[in-house]
Amino acid sequence: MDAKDRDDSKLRQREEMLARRVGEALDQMDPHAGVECPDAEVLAAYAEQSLESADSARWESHFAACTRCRKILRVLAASDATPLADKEVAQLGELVSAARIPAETKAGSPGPGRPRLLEWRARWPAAAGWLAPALGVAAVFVVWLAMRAPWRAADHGASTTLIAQAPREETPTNSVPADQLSKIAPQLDQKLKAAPPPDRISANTPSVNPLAGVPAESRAEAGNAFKKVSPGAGLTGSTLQKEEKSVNPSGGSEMRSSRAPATPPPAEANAALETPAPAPPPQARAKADTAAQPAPEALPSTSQTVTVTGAAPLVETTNGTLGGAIQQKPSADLSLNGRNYKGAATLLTARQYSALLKAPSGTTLWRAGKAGIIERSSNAGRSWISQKSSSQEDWLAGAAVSDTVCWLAGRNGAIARTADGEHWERVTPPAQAAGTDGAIPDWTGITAREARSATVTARDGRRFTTSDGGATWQAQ
Amino acid sequence: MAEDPFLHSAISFQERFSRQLAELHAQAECARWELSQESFAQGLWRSAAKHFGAGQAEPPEVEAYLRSLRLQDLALACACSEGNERAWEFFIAHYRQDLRIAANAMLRGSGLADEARAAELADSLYAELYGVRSGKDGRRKSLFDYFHGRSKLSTWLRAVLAQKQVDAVRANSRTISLDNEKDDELPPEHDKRADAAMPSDPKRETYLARFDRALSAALAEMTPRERMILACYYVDQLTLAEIGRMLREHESTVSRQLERIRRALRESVTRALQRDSPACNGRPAEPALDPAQVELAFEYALEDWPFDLSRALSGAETAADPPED
Repeated sequence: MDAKDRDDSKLRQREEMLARRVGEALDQMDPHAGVECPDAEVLAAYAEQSLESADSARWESHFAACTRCRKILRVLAASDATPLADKEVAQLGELVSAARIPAETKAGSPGPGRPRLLEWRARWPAAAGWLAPALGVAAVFVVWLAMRAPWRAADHGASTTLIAQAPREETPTNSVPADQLSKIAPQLDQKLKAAPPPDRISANTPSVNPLAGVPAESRAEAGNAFKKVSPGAGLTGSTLQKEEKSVNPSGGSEMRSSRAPATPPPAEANAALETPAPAPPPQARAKADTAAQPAPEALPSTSQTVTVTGAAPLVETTNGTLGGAIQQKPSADLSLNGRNYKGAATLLTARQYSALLKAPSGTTLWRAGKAGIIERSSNAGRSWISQKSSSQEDWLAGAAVSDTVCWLAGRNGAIARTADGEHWERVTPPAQAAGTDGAIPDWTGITAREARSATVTARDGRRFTTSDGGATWQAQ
Repeated sequence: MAEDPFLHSAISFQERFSRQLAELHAQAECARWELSQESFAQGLWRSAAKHFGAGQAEPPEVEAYLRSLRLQDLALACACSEGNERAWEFFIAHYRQDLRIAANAMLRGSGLADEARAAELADSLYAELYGVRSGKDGRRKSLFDYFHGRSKLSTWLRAVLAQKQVDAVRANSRTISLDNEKDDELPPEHDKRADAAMPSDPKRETYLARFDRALSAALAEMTPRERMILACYYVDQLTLAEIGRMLREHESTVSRQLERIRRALRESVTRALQRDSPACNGRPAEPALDPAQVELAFEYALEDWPFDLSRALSGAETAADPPED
């Protein structure tokens, strides 16, 4: 009888031994018997499986003997995100639906999906880098889904409330979520842009905060710069940074916050929950509420409450709370990844100041903005003293010529100048700048060389220069 | 035609493929980076010349090769190599994050993960990508010039990074020998003691020698991929999952393959021992072993642990060389 057949484990042992022996023989072989290690491109192509099979076999026999190449391939494979992608996408799908279900059925409950998210995170530590932005996107997507319904209903008049609700001074802040949302929901983006009265927003974005348009990194730099000069901003910046620190390492809280927008818990929704209908549309709510009391005793009668038909909106559309949710929630709750706290801090602080002007000395600063606000600091931004403005218009731009001389320009042709650093006088804008309706345009830029000469730039690009302190202006 | 020297110089290459080049140029969206057709053709020529060696290729073959390339990635690399600003901006915007993530994953593999270090590793590529002016002609030689479009740019970058990282670790372990990877440091005097210690059966030596030859033959029968799996599993001691990742297969597939390889090895060795071995290289012909003797040979081989690898190698080295060579 054959011994091998009798003893299976012995057989295994032999096979193992042989394989090990072959493996070690391979290790002892000279991988460079006439073959150099392949270059990075071959390794990359091999890892992508895009080598021709002959090539592939040739290199595999090198790899079999070459520890270095195998190691590179291994490192390469370990750094590859794609093998996980399918699983992750599937998980992400689950995640989105998990986040959506509570939004529809249990709007008030505080995040039943959370443990799952954390668990998921823990299971895929390797995917963390990938995960965070993806979750951000998912969260935004969920927000968008949640928002979409009311917007579809915009024709029914709900969105006017919504739009009107958008706080004007928040506009610069908007640019943070708007940037991110736009990737996923161009529709939403358009709405956001279209929402506030066009002249407001267009007046605001380029100049209210000159940082809004620049890419995140330079915004961070600008944020730093701002922090140096402005204690207010610095303070916000540092607290935010702390927050960032405390949140980032855990990772989990990132999920938490990013998930929050998925479950907007309006009080009404809670109330609605007590009724059998999951989320009655507003027009039906009154009915649902009245039907709610008899429902528990007379179960069969619940069918009456189910007359709630039509698409159940995910969020409250009868009042303006949604506007708040769009404006603040996303910016507060979006995934931390990719968010620029310093930039955000700058935006928040800067929203009422559209111009921060630094005199050549560096110690005297002015900031000006909303409704004619002007403040001056003579200690490089450590403290600010409010100054009396010559105009209640929003200041959009300025130029500090020296510690005492400064020019400001703003909406509706407002121009002001100080020659002593304390008192602001109104400067008559160039009459020739007036349009056919007599309105003088907003000034989006001003440059000044000294107390008497300055050049203002109108929104439409026209420029006017004075060299006599504003008594006369020449078009350029 | 082999004598057609169209791969010898970029100019004759361009003349030969002018029609295709225009098409490829458009396909690669070179206009995005203001990359001229000449520059792109240069890149394609470099790639083809590298792939085919000196002119030993038929034009249709070369054309097929060119079409198989990742043209857009290659165009980006060419443009970056030329120093086009838009291309660099795009490159930084699209690849920087990936590179950092990859660097982080690599460092995590070696237990050194930390954000700063990963960023450093990833960013260390930029200087080379940008290139340094070489003394001779003053032209910048950018790392991008080594990208030939045969893989995705992102994978290539990761491979470059992986190479760097692995070489750095290896250089470290060579000098400091902190690393107890067995990479480079197998003691050569592995041992001959086993033979000396057990002089029982006079046939033992013969059996072992035959066994080794059979094993070498079995090794030669294996496909390169099988050898690679064995090396990964037994030399690098990777897990099945890790091997699966490397080979883009599921770990259960790897497990089955490993099982199959082991069985095939055993069967192949057994078969070889049970066959007459004809005389060769001055070695006398050896008769087939009967099952009991085979059994004995296996026993001896098992006892003979650790193996005297040099003996197996004398056969394995030639056997394991790729037949393609």
